[in-house]
Amino acid sequence: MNDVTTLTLREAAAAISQGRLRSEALVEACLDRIERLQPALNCFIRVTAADALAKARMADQAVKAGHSLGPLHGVPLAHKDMFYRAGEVCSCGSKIRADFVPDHTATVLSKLDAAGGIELGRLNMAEFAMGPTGHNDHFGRCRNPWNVEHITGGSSSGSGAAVAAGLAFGALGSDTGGSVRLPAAACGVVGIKPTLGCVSRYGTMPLSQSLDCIGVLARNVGDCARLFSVIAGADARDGMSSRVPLLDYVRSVDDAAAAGSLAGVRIGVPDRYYYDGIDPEVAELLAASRVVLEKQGAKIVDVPIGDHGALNDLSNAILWPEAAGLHLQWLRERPQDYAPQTRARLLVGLGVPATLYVEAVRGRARLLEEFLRETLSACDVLHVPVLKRSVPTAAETDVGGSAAMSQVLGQIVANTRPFNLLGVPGLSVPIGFTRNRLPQAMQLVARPFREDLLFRVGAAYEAGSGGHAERPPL
Amino acid sequence: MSGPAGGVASRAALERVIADIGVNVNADDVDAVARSLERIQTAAAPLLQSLSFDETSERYYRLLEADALDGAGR
Repeated sequence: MNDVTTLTLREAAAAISQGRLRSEALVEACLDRIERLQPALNCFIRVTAADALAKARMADQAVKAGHSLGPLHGVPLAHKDMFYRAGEVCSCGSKIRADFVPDHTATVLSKLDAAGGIELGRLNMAEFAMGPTGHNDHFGRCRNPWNVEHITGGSSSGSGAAVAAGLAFGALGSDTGGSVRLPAAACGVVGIKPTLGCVSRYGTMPLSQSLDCIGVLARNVGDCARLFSVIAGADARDGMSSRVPLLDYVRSVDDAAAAGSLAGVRIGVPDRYYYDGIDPEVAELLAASRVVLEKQGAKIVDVPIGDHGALNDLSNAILWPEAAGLHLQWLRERPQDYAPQTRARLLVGLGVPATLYVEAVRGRARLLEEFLRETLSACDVLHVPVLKRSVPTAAETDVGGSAAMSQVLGQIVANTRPFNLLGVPGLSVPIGFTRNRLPQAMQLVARPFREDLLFRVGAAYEAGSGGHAERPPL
Repeated sequence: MSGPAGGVASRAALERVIADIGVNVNADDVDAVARSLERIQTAAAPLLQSLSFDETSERYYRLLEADALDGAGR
């Protein structure tokens, strides 16, 4: 085999479990690549090479003994540094928690471990997952593998960059306002924000209990579906975890490979907001992606949609009071230890009246009902951009806590945040490149717990378009 | 801060509220919070008009699951 880091996750897992590739060799190849590219990309906060190699050797021994460790047997992964593992530092991308050692392990990590995944280390992220660009004043900015002058998107910045750069085969991220979908889009990988409650949050850093979702990023839809099938499901240790039965996400991807696999699927294009003011070259890419979906049998339909600009603003009435409540002690005692932008955003939560917060939380039922009735009854999957413009440069978005912050950051999350308020699932799928050779993505949105349909449509798009398997020029 | 959060009086009230919580802020901080509040309140007014007693967060979570369990589109 040539460069084993170019395999897909599913190819790598199959090669290891069939004895055609040693997990140790694959982990070593990833570690070599990390060593070479970390200075340029700054994806990792910490690399746990010795642990990863030891686990890889165990995975290889299991193959020799005829044992399967699961669907991720011996595959190298890396995760945003906000998933707790008992006894190991978890910085949450912050100075404040630089030495925090949790006493319990996140359910999602336990599930990935049990499926045979091997953790290479911890990835860079926005401070406390608050920031959609990839800037981090404490650990340095994570850089986009396609062009290091551009942002990775955030807050799961290292997850997007590491997967795109071939440093890991998949990564956990969190999505409270777009933090999986944005870095997936900006870095040219696939990312899923699940339905609220579909993935356990036990042992993960909280930001906003009403909005936080745990998702995964991978190089293609099939890999993403496999990882998602491992982490999804009810967890008694997460009080907001749902018991809705899971669907077969991997089969959804397999079914999508056939020509015409989207026959009968209606893809909706909203009549306002999501495409308003879009950059023409981004609009062209999205139009081309709809042509591919149409060729796969889907029907493209125009659909009505409510005032999602207002939903975007309203989500701040929930996110920031919940975040500020969590951070209150540190806001009082250690304000200097936050980056100015993080502190400025948290302060918003202190000004939101309690009654407005409660009304916003209660109002979600009405808003979801309207969305399901008016929009998702007219289509099966909504098709919208993740970003309305090409991926910005780091300089363009380096606004700190200034007066420009709200507008600049608001534009980045404008198309992702409404779906966090509604709680519905969203999948970011690469659709090509703008003229500056930065990736672009479509965002597919479905009814609650229909992640299977998102994977099916995403995989059918990849099959019809040939995918976007090109790697960054590193 | 119900009412015009951008007004001088409300900014002063906002500053007092945050100070009472025990967090130190300056005038720029308060201005930024007030601007964000204005946007939130502008958005909230039409969306949350006349919420009934029965429109609860539990209803939202029930709806999320019921939509799936009812088999809508499944």
